[in-house]
Amino acid sequence: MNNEEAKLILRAYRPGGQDASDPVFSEALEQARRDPELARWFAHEQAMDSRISAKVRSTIEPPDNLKAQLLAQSKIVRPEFNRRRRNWVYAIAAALALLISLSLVWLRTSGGSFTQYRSEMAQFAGLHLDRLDLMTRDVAEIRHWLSQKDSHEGLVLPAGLDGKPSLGCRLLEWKGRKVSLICFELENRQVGHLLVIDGGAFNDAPGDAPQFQQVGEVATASWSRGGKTYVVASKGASQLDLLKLL
Amino acid sequence: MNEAEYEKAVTSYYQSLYAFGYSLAGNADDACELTQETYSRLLTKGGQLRDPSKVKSWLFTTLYRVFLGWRARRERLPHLEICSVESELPPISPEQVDVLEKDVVREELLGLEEHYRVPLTLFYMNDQSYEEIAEILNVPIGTVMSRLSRAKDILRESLSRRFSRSGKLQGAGPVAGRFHQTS
Repeated sequence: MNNEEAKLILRAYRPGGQDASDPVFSEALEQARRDPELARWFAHEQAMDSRISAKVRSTIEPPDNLKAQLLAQSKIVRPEFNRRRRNWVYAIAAALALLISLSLVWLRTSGGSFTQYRSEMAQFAGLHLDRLDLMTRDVAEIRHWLSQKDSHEGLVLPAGLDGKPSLGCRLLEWKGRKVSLICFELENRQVGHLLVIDGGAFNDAPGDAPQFQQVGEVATASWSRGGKTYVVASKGASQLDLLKLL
Repeated sequence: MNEAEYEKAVTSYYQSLYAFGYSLAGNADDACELTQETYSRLLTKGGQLRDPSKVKSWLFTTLYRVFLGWRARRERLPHLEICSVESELPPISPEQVDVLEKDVVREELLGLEEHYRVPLTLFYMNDQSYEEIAEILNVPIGTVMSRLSRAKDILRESLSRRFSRSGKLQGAGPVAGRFHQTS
């Protein structure tokens, strides 16, 4: 190996010393120990690399909230199913999707009632939370984002959800009306979904007192306040669990 | 992959993955999106990983594939030509690198052509060996070594140029444009 070959290899040697035990570098490092000129070149090379590396590492840093967003993803992205169960799970999912699609078509053509809205939103909250428009643990940021989207500015969080860490929010549409969906992280790794729509959307909107209704696996609580109708939905929760959130 | 394994994968690698995404896309927004998409795929497809020690290389390879998929679908990246080498410039020293503002180093690194920029960024992030870089980029080891060597030369020439102009002019160099932009 001549010095030019040794230099080519040693230029791939990281300045932190992580490659010290890699046999690919052994011969070139040995040559640098024997040859003072190559040793000087290598010392200079390492000095340059460590300085440039430090500057690069300090300037390409992720934003403060990225880690929290990534961790929150695990609450939203549906976990992978066991491979052996996948085929029949896909079959059931396809049947469910068809059923829901047919239901949606029927609902769209049959006029909206609060019961339909609650049922549809509960199903949505239970099945389709693989994407949020904004992912953040800061509810103030969600309020700001919603106000920018001209959606449900001044919504009133129920006392039990106020202070809980959020996961993010998403804007939906139900029969041409805006629905704001805000997701919260609850105890025991459960997720709570708060859905807000203008109260004028229904003739049968709930009153001030919360109404509890189970929709499949999703527990819901609904009430109206300040011209808005609120639904809290959580899959696998009990009525008592929801009561604590209000 | 269970939740604890996922959290460990996030904590251990999200910073270097973000930096890799940044080196590819050239801006913070796309770097975030690439990182999020990669971890989203880990959640949905990570169960296929039989060997937990492969999570790191799987993440980097996946992010690179996501990027290549984006690029194939979107219009091509802004092309930044490397200026001709001013061979009369004296080589830059480690002490002169110390004097340079750190943003200048990043800007010049991001100004390199992609096939130099990406392996060099991975190298300077210090988390990947030349072998791992070769695996992520799916190129031979010898190619990684020669690209690293050439990329270092080009970067040092551009840093030397920035240094020789004036410290006051630092911060006005070329940067890779936002990924969505067209040339």
